[in-house]
Amino acid sequence: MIVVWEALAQYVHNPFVLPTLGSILSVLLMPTADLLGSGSLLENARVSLFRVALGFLIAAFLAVPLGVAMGQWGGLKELSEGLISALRPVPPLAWVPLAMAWLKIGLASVVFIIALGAFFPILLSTMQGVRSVKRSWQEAVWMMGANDADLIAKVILPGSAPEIWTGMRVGFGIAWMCVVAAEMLPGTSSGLGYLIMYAYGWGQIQVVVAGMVAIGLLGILIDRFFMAVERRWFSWRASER
Amino acid sequence: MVFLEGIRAMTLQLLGITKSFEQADGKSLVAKVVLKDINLTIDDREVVGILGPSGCGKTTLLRIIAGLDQPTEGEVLLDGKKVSRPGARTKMGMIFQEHALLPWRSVIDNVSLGLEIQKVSGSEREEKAMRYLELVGLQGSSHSRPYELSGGMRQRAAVARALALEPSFLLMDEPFSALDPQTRKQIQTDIIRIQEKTAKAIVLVTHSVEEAILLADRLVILSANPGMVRRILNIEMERPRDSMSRPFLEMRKEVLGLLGGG
Ligand SMILES: Nc1ncnc2c1ncn2[C@@H]1O[C@H](COP(=O)(O)OP(=O)(O)OP(=O)(O)O)[C@@H](O)[C@H]1O
Ligand SMILES: [Mg+2]
Repeated sequence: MIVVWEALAQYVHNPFVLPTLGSILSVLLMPTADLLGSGSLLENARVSLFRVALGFLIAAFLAVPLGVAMGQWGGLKELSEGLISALRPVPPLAWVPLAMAWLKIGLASVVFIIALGAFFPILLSTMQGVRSVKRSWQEAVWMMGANDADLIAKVILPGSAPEIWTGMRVGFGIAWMCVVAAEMLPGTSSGLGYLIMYAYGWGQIQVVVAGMVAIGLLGILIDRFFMAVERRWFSWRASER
Repeated sequence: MVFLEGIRAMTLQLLGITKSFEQADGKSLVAKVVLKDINLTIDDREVVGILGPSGCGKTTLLRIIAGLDQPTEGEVLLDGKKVSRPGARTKMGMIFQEHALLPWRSVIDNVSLGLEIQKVSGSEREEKAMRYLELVGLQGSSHSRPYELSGGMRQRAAVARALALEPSFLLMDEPFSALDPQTRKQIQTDIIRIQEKTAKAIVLVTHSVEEAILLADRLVILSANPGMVRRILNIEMERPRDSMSRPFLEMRKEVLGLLGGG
């Protein structure tokens, strides 16, 4: 694919349509260089990562406790499942106008969109994880005099951790897509999404492609991290199937 | 090794235990009586075997004793006090048919789980857990995960876990039924040794007449539909018992007769 790209780029010979590999690489290899006065690649990546991390953490802090409560206590379940099935099909980016109306343009609305994107995968897999916790594990700790807090800390959370983690991995993937998209919206002035839109405006297609590559690489890297943790800590899960 | 510290005589009384479940019958719900008027006193240090046809309510009865289920009528008293919480504040320990060890914890962390919940200090926890692992012969596997163990070792770990809180009563629901005959025999011998050493009362639900006669001081034989006490037999034979001896075989015949004859 790389070869085809380069051959085509040489053939087209128009950096506004298809930049050469060399020009893309030279952007990627100098990640700290300022690009068109919009900050360096590294700086913008840092901004995007910070936004995703913030939105993701907010989502996780809300979704995990809620998912545990909904998975564990039947009464809550029906009430909330109605709400979820109504809200979930709405893509996070469809919330953009509302987010801007409520939170104005800026960090808060971007983080809101990200948190929304990460929220449902984490919530749903937490619920699923909690329901997969074996009854006999719970009864075993009740026999040891456990109260509800013990039950949650010693059985429910560790027992559903593999599913919660998987939900976080999926949620982070969606959050990453959301941040890039949200940064392309008017009113942002930093981040990888902003950078590629801005570079496009200036006809700097090699910067656009370099930005895309950076977005993709970071996404893969983070996903790998989630998978590595999964293999390291949750290998016991495989024995339960 | 000292295993008798802090243990005092207790009795467990079942008074008129009746249990019915709601069951769908066509469109309406009908109450299906599973256990009817079970009366039984289990003394300190006594091994009681519970036998009965499949579906007669043995598991249900054991769960009611444990406080995991509530009877529809009647009550369970421990030292005269109603059992209102599962395990009656750790005076009862349960060994489940499917070990129920937590797969993400090592063997020793499983054994010290109850001590953790009871807020026992770290060093004491470890010391105690190790002591009970030694008692069941698992000291060499303390840092393995449950799924790395054989079925027999898992049940041993479950026994150690139940013992670690030093309950007065051990409740076992067909704990060895998934094991091969050799492992099962070995673990039965160990249970006798452990029972003598720790002086627990044991309530053992089993399908195996041999196992029941081998281990129990008293046999409670239930009839089915609804589950009622059909007969209680005392077993006076000396331990260890020889399953080929005459009194053993006679006992076995009698029990099989009671189980088979409707
Ligand atoms: N939660 C429940 N709801 C409805 N019926 C139940 C429930 N638990 C048990 N039963 C019924 O109660 C009866 C007794 O079940 P139980 O499991 O106590 O029998 P058991 O003697 O342990 O059988 P087995 O020897 O096969 O283990 C069965 O008919 C079962 O269907
Ligand atoms: Mg049963």
